[in-house]
Amino acid sequence: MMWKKGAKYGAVFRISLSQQFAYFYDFLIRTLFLILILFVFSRLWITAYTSGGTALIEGYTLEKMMWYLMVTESIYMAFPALVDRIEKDVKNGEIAYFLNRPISYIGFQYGQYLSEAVFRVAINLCVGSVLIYFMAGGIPIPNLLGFIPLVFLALTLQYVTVMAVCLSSFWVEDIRGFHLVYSRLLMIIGGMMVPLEIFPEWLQHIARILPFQSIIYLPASFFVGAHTEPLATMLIEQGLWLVFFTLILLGIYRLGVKRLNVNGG
Amino acid sequence: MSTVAKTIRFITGYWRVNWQGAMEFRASFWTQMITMLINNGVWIAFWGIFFNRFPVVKGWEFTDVLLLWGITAGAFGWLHILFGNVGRVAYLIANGQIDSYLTMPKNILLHMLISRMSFSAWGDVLFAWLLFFIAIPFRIDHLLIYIMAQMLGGVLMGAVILAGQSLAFWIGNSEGLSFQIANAMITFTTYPIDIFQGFTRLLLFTLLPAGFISIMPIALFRGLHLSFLVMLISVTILFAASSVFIFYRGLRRYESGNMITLKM
Repeated sequence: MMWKKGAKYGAVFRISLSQQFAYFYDFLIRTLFLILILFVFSRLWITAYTSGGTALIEGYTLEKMMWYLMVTESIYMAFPALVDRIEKDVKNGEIAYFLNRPISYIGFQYGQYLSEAVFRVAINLCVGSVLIYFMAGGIPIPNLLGFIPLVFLALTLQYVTVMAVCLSSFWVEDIRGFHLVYSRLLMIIGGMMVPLEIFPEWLQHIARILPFQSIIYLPASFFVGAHTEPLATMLIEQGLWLVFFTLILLGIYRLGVKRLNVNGG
Repeated sequence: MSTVAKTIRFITGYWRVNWQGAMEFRASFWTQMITMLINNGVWIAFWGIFFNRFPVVKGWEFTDVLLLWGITAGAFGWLHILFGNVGRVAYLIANGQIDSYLTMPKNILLHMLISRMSFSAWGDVLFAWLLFFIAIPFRIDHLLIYIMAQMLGGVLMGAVILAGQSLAFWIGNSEGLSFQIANAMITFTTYPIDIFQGFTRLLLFTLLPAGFISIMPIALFRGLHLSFLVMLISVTILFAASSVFIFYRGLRRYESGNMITLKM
């Protein structure tokens, strides 16, 4: 029974994944932006390390820093844009069509989201690795058996939190403001732009108790071998946040659907 | 009434109506403005962390980057408040929405650019002025240079964005590419120019003239370099004229979308 349930969401994943190959132009444009950002960041950090005459900052060599930023950017830029899609579904009542279908709205969206995110993160990591190899050299050999589950949980946690923000459009007219604030917190406190170790002490403490670092910092620091906690602890941390936000998401969805009014047919 | 006076009346009339339109959606206006402030604030937080670790990078200090962000945000802000369609030209071309401007007895490009106002751009302008008062001591010469830098920066930025958007006349649906050209211009203007060397630096002072904006905190505020100012004004005029030329050359290739719309 559980297998059958999983199979239909697997089918959504597969169909959506095959669609990714059809939008080559969009993919190319997005990749150009990744290259641009990585290039600019690389120049900034190369200048900082060389002009400061420092070889090591909080355990990060220049190469390590560049590879860290490559992973954070690759993950961050792989997140599909859920806001427009979900807000539209809630506002025009499309979400109501799912109530009598044998597939959950949240599960359906997750299948689609995951296929897009996995496809993008794989491409981003490949393109980013080539660029950083030529700019900084020194490929880290990550433990893929640890890195892949960390990225998978990070993408899933991102989905659950963003979906909770998006579904607040049951009550709030314009959710873009909330989403922007969330994504900016992810950028700064999540460790996308600099590793948490570089933060001032007080900010580091705050960042480490918030969920944002589980999405960006943990996979990236593991990739470059800069993590201080064992893999199991990191996975448990991500898992606990995932359970917490999934409960919030389901609560919001149930309350929202209760107050759904659909006019017309 | 002279043609100049008529044009000024036309432009100010549009801006007034755009402002009234913004005030019709006050909640949305304020939300977008505040979120833009937060968005820009995150970048300042990043630079704060960065300069906390590296106080001086190739002669650049935190206050220089604050000024840089102020100039760029201000330039982007006024450009998108007064000429809000500048970043949507490719979309309008690809969707055949230029038709309605073609039939009116006004300058097509000007009319198209001023017929929209970006709400969030007000957040950029407010942010720019907050940074001005934070970054440097208030002096009249600083104020005048800051205003001039924002104005020239806005024209230069607008020229590059318009030229990139006009690619749609030749390659059809160029929204993604045009967006990335604008993105590249804005991205490069928000980093200290001295981190770029060699070919990239050459590119930033020629084809993608972001370097003329990102060098401003050094070349205008650490003693006004007149030779730089003359070059900046010349380059701005050159790029503005070229982008207008590119737009009108492209317009010859424009094919109507047969779209019937009613503009109120």
